[in-house]
Amino acid sequence: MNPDPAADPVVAGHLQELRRGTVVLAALVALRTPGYGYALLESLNQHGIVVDANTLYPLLRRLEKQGLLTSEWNTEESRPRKFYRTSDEGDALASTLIADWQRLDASLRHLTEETS
Amino acid sequence: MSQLNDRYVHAATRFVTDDDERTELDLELRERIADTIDDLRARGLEESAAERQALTELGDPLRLAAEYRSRPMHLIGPRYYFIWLRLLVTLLAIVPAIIAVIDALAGAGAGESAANVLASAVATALSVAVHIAFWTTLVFALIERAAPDGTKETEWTPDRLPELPTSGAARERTDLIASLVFLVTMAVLLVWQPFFVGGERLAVLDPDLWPWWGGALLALIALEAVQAVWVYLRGWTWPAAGATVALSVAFGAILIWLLTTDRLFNPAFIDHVGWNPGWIESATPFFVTVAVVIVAWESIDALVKAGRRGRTVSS
Repeated sequence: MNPDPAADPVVAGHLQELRRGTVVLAALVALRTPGYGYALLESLNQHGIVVDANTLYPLLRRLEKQGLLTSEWNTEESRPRKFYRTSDEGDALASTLIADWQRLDASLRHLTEETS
Repeated sequence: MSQLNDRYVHAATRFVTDDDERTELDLELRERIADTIDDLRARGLEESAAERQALTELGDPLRLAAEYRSRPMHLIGPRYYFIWLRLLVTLLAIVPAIIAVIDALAGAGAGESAANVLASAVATALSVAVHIAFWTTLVFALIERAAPDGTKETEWTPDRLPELPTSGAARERTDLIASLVFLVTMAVLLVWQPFFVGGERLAVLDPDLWPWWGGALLALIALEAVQAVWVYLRGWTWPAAGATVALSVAFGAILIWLLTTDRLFNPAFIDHVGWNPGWIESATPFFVTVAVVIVAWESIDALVKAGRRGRTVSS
């Protein structure tokens, strides 16, 4: 079997760059149902969206600051947890991003068909 | 919760001045750490090992806090880097040299030995350079933090592009002719001194200057002419700029020294014009300042031209 291509630092760097925006999109979509940091981290990773905790937590804060997420402290459980939920603006942005993602996907498919 | 956890949260939050923000960050970090530890323990790690690993994954607390709070993690970012660099290089090329010249002149005026004058000038230039670097950088680091996000760097326009080394040929020839005419005029004035009183020539400069001081000034003028031709042929190289600075400083230093030791003007001329010695004495600082400014101007001009040329050649 071939060695993992992501082990090459150049490949890993490009993969990371390609995936960067998708984490935002995935978080906006996933948080239509309110969730807290660690649960979101696990659910994204289970769905194959690879993201590091050190990226996700600051990202959630940034999205909240931009008004794309809202947050609320839940103190009902054993420990207080900050629950994030996608705001209306966040929802609108998610739709825009998905449309663009599909457009890019189509463009790349055309390009690969033409060049292969 | 163990002490390690508390220490981490304290380390990450202690520099947050706003109370609400600190409490929020504190709670968020505790939530994240506890969730991470639970997960690691569910995978079979023992409590203290799980805590250690969780905190290790979080990394440096100051860095973590900066990331959470979207604070810059650089001293001067891309917005201001090139403005900072240009300003710093310009200031370092100009100011220490000027201060060193002033310091040397003050030392020479006070009758210090040449070695002392030189040592003091070099030390002063170095300390001025350190100050310039420190304060410029400090101001830019503060601007970097104070300027709101999205502030654009100052607009760049194509007008700011440096000249190509060859495009200024005509202007360089004009420069050469102007310098030569000026230098020849100076030499003629120095030697002949056409100031006539009732058909008789009265020297403006002290006749005792000849042969040594007058000769030295004449030699410097000749060297400046050679230098002007050199610049015309080779362009403003760094050695050419260095020679300009050296000649300019030498010329200025001799003139100022002669002036401050009352050896520049012909006493007979001073008598004739009716200047009184007190007036000359009080005007001396003014003349010295003018001379220093001219020397500094010439030096800066040469260094700037050399710098510009260096940039166009290397790019």
